Amino acid sequence: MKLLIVDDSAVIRKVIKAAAGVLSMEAEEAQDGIEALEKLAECHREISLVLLDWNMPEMSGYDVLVEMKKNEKYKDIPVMMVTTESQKTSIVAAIRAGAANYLTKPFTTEELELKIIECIGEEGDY
Amino acid sequence: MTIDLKEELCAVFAGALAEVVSTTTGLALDMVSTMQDDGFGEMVGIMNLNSKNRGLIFISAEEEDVRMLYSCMTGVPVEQVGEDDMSDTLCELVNMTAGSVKLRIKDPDYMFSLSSPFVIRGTDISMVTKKRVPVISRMLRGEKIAVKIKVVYS
Repeated sequence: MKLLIVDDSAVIRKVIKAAAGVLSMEAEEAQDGIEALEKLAECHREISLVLLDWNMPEMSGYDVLVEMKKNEKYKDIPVMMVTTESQKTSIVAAIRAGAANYLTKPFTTEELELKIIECIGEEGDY
Repeated sequence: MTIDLKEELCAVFAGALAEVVSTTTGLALDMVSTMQDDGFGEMVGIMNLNSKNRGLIFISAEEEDVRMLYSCMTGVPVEQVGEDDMSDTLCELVNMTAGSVKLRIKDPDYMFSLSSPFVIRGTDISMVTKKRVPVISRMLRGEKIAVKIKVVYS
C-alpha cells in the first residue's frame, strides 16, 4: 500500500507521510504536478491513493486530476484533493472531475487518517 | 474603512490564524494586544491578497518560534529543524490562514483569491507606507510561542 503525496509544501508532505506511517502505508512524494505525473508513470501500479494539493506552481492539482482521469493506466487510482480552497465550487469541480474525496487545510492528523481510510477502505480495498 | 469593519476583519484574520495553529500544532494562542508599531518578527511570511481592495497579509514570528511550530506540526525535534523547514512552515501558515479567512469573510469587497506566499528574513524589519492605509495588527501568544499578524488594504 503506497500513497503518492503531491504538494509544493515540504512540511505538509512530511505531515501526510507521518500519517501514512501510522496506517502502515509507504509514501512517494512529488513537489508539483509535473513530478506527480512522472512518478505515476514510474510506479502507478504500486500507488493506492493520490493526495493532491490544489494550488501548486507549474501545474495545478486540478489539472493533474484531469490528466489522471484521461489516462487508462491511472484513471482508477482514487484521488483525494487536499487544499485551502475550501469553497463549494472547488469541491464540486474536483468531484465532477473524478476526485474520490476532499480534505481542507488545516486538518488534524486524525481527520487525515480518517479520510485516507474512507478512500481506500480499512483493509486497503483498492 | 470604518472602525467596525476594521475590528471585524481583525477578528476574522486573527481568529483564522489561531485556529490554523491550533489545528496543525495543538498549540493554543490567545490574542494579547493590538499592535501599534510596525515591527515584525525575524521571519515574515507574506501573501498578496488579490481583491477589489488590494491587500497584503503578513504573519511573522521569531526564528525559535517558527522552529517550535515546525516541530509541533511534524514531531521533528526543535534542534533538527532546518532553514528551509522554517520558511516552508511560515509559507504554509500564511497559505492556510488566508484560505481559512476566505470561508469567514462576509464583505465581498474584501474577498480575495490566494497567491503564492513568500518569506523575508532579517532583524528590525519595519513597514513604511506612502499613504495612510488601513493596517490591521494583532499579536497572538501561547505558552510556547508568539505570532504577529498584520493585514494591509490599499
